[in-house]
Amino acid sequence: MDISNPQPAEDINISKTHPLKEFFLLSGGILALVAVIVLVLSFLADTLTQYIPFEVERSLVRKVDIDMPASNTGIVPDYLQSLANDLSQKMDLPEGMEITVSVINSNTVNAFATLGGNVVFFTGLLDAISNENTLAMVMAHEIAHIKLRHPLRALGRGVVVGIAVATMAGVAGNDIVAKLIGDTSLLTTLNFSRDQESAADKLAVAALAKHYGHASGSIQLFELLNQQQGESGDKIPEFFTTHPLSQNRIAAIQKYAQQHDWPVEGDTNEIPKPVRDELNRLRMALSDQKDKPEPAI
Amino acid sequence: MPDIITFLILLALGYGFGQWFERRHYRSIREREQEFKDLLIIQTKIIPSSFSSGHETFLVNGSVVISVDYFKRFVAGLRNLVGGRVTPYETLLDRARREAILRMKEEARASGADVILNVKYEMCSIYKGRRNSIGSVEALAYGTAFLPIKTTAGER
Repeated sequence: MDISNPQPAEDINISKTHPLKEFFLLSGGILALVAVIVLVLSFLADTLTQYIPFEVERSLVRKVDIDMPASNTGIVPDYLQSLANDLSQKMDLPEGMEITVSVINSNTVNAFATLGGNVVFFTGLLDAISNENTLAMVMAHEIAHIKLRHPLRALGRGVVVGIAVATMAGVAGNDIVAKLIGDTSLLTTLNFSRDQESAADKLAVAALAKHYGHASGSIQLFELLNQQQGESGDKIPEFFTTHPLSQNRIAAIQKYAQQHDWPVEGDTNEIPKPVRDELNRLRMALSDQKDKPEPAI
Repeated sequence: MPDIITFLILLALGYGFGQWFERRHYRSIREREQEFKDLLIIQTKIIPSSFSSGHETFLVNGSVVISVDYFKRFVAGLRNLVGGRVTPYETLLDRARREAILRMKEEARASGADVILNVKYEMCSIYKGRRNSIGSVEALAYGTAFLPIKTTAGER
């Protein structure tokens, strides 16, 4: 019996495809597919949710649901509410749309619009702002978000895209791939978020021009925000952020104001002294609170 | 941002080390396959007539555990979505099988055997991580080694 074991040919049991080619083809194709799915779903959700009547939204979310104590009454909220009412009239809000302003005593330099026509201001932002026009720019920007139904549309997009991403990630059955799909969809949806900010900026400048006769404060606001971001130190590319970069927003506002012959400079109004005094008092209360030692248990 | 950077670093490390080890392993496999070429392995259960007498028999086995790298696992994960040949795992299993055979041959040669009959393979994944992401495989090869009691030299 003549038996031998010749060396079998290589590459029978293994494919000749280069691993990197496989990697780029697969990751490129799948990421593009995820981005397209997320874009289409976001677009549909975004388009459809705005037909939900405001009354329905309001009946679902009457009060801001936030972990921090938000107040609707007092000198500061009353002042902001009257400013909101003045601006709302200039912004042609649809029938039945009401703005409710709340204030949270916190050092955070921020304000946001949320479901049910709620606008929330942090006292940190109010402290940083130097005049009423700049404050009106923030207010008009948040009211514009509500007028354009942005909080609701963002929620609609979030739910639809969330379900799609969870399904795709589940199919992948691999933690790393699931995370990648999640990140891709997040970066894709950020695009919608930045578009919303730009749209709200435009309406806000128009409201400012209509209310004061000039758009002073609009540019000051973003210079202020730019300065605040500069202090925190990191410069993130626009692609990774929810808001356009401050300098891009300033440029867009200048262009938009120029097109409509609105001056971006003009006499500014002071924030009333009682409001300033109350803000100072609130800030002192906040720092007092911090200095208090934690109760020993 | 930092997440993406960490991910890319892990991917690059996985690819770099994974490919380096794989190339080195294949080189060693080819060399040793040449070295053990004259030690025959035969799948048959029936003992050829020439071995039926004058041989001592004993069990030999060789096993190896090989782990998948981060890069391979990621590409295989992407593959799960669209289907098709999971090429990164093909080389992994090929290496495991050939290495197991070589280790078995090594054991047989150490005892002086010149043929192994009834050779069989077992493969199993020894680690199923979270969500069934398989971490490493074990390949086991075993067979019956025939040790000639040399009375008539050169005869087979």
